Amino acid sequence: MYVGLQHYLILSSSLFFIGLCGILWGRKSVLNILMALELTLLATTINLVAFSSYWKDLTGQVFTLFILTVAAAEAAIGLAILVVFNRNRGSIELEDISHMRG
Amino acid sequence: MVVIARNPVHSVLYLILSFFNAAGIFILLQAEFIAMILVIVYVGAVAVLFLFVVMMLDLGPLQKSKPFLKGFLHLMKSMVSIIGFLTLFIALCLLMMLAINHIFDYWEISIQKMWERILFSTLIGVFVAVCMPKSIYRWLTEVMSDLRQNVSLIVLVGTILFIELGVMLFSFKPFTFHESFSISPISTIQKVNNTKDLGKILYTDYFYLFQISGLILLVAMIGAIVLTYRRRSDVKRQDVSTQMQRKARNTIELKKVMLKKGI
Repeated sequence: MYVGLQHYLILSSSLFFIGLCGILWGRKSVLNILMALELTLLATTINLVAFSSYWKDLTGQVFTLFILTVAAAEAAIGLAILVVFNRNRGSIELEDISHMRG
Repeated sequence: MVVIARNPVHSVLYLILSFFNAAGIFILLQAEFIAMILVIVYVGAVAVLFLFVVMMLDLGPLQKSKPFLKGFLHLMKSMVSIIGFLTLFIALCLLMMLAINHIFDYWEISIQKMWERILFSTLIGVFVAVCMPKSIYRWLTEVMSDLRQNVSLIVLVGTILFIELGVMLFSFKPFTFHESFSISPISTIQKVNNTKDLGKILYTDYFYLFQISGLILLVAMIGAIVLTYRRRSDVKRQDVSTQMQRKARNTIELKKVMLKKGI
């Protein structure tokens, strides 16, 4: 079977959709939402690399590198905030984080 | 599985599994360097960081809080709204692609001219969006906030957009490949490998972006350290400067003790 661009696109869009469902629906703890965010970023990188290989253009892979960097930084900062929050409040359930009344 | 799993540790392990799968896919796509980076950085650092935090925070398996039917209804509502927005987005993208295709196919002008035209149309779009009166925006936001309540309207909008999408799909022509489009083409000679090629581009064309990403990493590192660092009062620490400044005359006092009297 020939694997074309559309298969990669279907894969990445379904992965992105799963991540989106995790962000919107899985309101259990902030950690799960962070992991779902990582999943959506992974879908984006798959999309970029697929298009980069399709157009025979390396720019997509360079931008994939930058996305990886930003995702790593975001994960580090988010987890640090999470640890501090857990130390202060003793819980990271999303139901409990409503002090700002946003 | 990352989303569904109830135990956070299982969730992290499934995340690692999906990262490995993505790395395999990247190797299939002939992007070996990205695949290696994904395995090293993500599986080696980020996923393990997640695992550390999960185990440090000691989260038990989460209990089921909502009744199933209510959760399901909530899920369906949000799914329907997401699908509506996605369809809108895809329809807009396809519309733009169609417009570009038409420009390419029928008015055969030079690429420079085409890009000018596209830029011009986007500028016009931005201008229209800026000049639109405020009441339309207000109405739009009201409609958006009402969307969660009346599902029927959004289903209607979704079906209309879906029909539109179908029409577009049937009248869609594939984008013709132009050689001059690729800014930095993958070298066709197989002697130069992916890593070398990527490095050549990364250190020349995207050097400033590369520096900025390094800066972002530095800021993230400092931020994480500042956030999680705390000075504990119950642990004795070594203070080197005060140790060095101690002199004998400050700490030791000599006294002449009389015999049979004591101090």
